[in-house]
Amino acid sequence: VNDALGTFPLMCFRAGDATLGVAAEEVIAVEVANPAAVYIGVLMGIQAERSLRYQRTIWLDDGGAVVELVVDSPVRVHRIRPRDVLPIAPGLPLVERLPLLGFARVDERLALLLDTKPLIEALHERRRGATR
Amino acid sequence: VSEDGRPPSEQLRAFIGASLEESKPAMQVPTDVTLSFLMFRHGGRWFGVRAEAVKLVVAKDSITRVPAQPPHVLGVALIRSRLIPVIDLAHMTRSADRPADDAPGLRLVVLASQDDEVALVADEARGVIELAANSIDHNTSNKVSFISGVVKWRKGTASVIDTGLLLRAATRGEGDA
Repeated sequence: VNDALGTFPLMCFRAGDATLGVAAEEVIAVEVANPAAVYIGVLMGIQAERSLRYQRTIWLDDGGAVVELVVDSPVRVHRIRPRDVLPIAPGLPLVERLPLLGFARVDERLALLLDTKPLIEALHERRRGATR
Repeated sequence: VSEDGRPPSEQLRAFIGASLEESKPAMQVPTDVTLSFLMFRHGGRWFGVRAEAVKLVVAKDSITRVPAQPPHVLGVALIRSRLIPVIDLAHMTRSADRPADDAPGLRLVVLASQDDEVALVADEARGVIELAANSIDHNTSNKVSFISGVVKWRKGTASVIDTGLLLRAATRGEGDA
């Protein structure tokens, strides 16, 4: 959603030392961490020390339904400009396995821009695996 | 059929093969050909890459880790507005000898081949050095696919990197090529 200034609102959060971002419009709510929800790092292959004290649950729109994911703080909206956006580095191996759209410069860091559709699909897949 | 049991046609095939091999002139490397190399130190080891394959050498800034990558990928670095994968050369050469994270003056050596680029961490870089082509010993026992030879360098040796093979191994996820 480009605003009048040509910026795009991105909901950014952390998973371990990685900064992640999704389109802010896809995030319905941010709440205190739900210990029963799946940690996003599990879906991304990120190993991280977990502490609910520094975590939040984000609610993502799943085609009319809602899914919950636990993320690391801080969680906040950034407005990125077109010049902040960077394509996926050519030559980065195995990147097709990630729900990754690209990268963006956010507060002097590189954020991984996530595609929520495959991310949510990975969550459903994990739940299906857990119930088998 | 000969005494060794092989049919004549097989004997003739073997004879032709042996004859051609024998008459093949030994590969001569002209003594006056020189090649340009950038030499860089990675931990305690020196490596050489053809200068033509070196896109740039920059001071090492932060490297952003990318999840689900093979262990030889340290992450990506933002270099002149481009994201470039940073490769752990030590891992790819099956060595534990790598630059210390907090070593002063670390560099990133950016190599390019066709459409791919990778960066290697270097403690220091020296270049461009002209080396006689016939000074490179290609008959080494090195089992790393992208090390194409060894050259005398300073008081020791430097491993010569075949950039094309290195990039192929690094970008296909074959970390220990």
